[in-house]
Amino acid sequence: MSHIDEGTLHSYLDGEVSERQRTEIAGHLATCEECRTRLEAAEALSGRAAELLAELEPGTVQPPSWREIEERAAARRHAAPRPVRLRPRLAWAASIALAFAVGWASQAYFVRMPASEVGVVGALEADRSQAPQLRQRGAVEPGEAQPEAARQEQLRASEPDMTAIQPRAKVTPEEEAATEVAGRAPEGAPAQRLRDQPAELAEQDRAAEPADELVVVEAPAIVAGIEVAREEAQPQAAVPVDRAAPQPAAHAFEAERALAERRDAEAKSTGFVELPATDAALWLGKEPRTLPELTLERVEVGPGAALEGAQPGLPAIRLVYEDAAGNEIILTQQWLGGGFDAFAETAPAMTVEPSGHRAYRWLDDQGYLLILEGNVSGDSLRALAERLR
Amino acid sequence: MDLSQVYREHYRSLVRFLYRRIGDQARAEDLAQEAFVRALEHEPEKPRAWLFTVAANLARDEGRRASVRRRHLTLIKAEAEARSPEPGPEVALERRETVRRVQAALARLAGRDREALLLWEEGFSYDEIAEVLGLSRGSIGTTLARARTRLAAVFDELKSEGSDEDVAY
Repeated sequence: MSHIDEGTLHSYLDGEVSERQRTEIAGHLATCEECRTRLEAAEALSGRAAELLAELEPGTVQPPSWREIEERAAARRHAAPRPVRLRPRLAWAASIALAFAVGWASQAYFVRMPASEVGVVGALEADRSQAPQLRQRGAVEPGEAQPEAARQEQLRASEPDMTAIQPRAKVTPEEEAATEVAGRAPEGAPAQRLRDQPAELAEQDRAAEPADELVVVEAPAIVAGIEVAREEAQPQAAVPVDRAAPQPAAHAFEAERALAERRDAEAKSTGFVELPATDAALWLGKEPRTLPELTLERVEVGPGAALEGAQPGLPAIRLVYEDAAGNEIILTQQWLGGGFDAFAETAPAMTVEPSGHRAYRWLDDQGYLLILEGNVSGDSLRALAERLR
Repeated sequence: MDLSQVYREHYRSLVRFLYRRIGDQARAEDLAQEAFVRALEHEPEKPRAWLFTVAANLARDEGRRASVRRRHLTLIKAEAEARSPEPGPEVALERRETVRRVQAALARLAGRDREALLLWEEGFSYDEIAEVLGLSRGSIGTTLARARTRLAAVFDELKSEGSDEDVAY
């Protein structure tokens, strides 16, 4: 038998070899001084490792009652599902998709609607240019195509100056100025027109609103792929003049997209993303604790796993404030409820970064895990903690 | 086996295992309780091995979070310091240094080696260690030999250097 390898020596010492192996090893050790020396070294090493680990002995451990563990498991089993499961990024995607679907449905509705009901809606250049394409897509029954085209022609011949209708979309002062430059009705004209025009025209005007929204939804930057398909199907000249001009709502979508991109970047770096303040309670499962004396800058949601001592499976809400001195004060919270209070640390703890950034963490008597942090003194954080509502 | 019995028999062992892994007793107790809560949900056939497997995973997650945290924060826990009965300043300092070096040495082991060693110290057999760690039984002796050798070597190295290296799990 060759020399015994280190692993087998440790297995032998640990009593984890079979009877046959034990006999073989013992026989070899009886005749091999080198292996006996190595066995002694392995035995000493094993004892040393055990001694070192014995230094890492926890203090007195007082386990909670088994009933408490059972209650915690039961609470988790019966915990109501969170009202919001959709991740914020997906929620934004869903919002955009929904907006597009509504816009598309509105477009199809107005194209299919008989002229007697639509009135002058079809006169909108945008709708006129898109109607044939929708027919190609089967949105309109084949038999209706010709009568519809005839109706469009009639409407085109009798239509009033529809540029006066378009400004009914949300218009900023800058947009109104642009309207004047483009030769549209002067400022104040829409209101005057509503007073002067017949009731039927006012009704038609109101009906035209969803079509305006459609232009917004189809903003090229948002639905670029779809827009490309449409551009192929319709001549460029058919695009209404107004669509070439800046659309305030299109800007809004651009801003929303930029915001969504910023959220994605934030999520990648911190795990937290911004959300409307009104959604905080939905994510938290309860009304969030707040600091009414400070100015709320934004609200974010992120995974509990990103926070020390928090429940990884629950979302955490972060309220970002600014105090009078311009310091950013962040209040992060998770509602653990009665079922989880024994899991989290209840004793208040203050942490401090070398930079002076401090975090004060505690579990309050209502089941909120709270972390208050900022580049302020510990006393300031404690004082703020007492003012939480 | 009745889980309440497993709890009575192995809760402290599980806390010790976790404490050695993460170095924070309060968190070790939290995680041990969490492991038992999960055991009640899953009702594992081999609860002891299952509990230590879950605990090892929880400790790994905790280690990842601690590693991020450590870059920014220095934990101040005056309450914890205050309640530690110390025999004397010099003895206390020496003991703290030893504990810190053992923690640092343990942290320098490969994950599997460290867990195998800690499981062995908690009374797990080679078969059980192999099951928890997903290793072959035949490799456990070698794994433990490597872990013990490195633990002692790194501890001695840190002691001779007088290093104040931070623990990094």
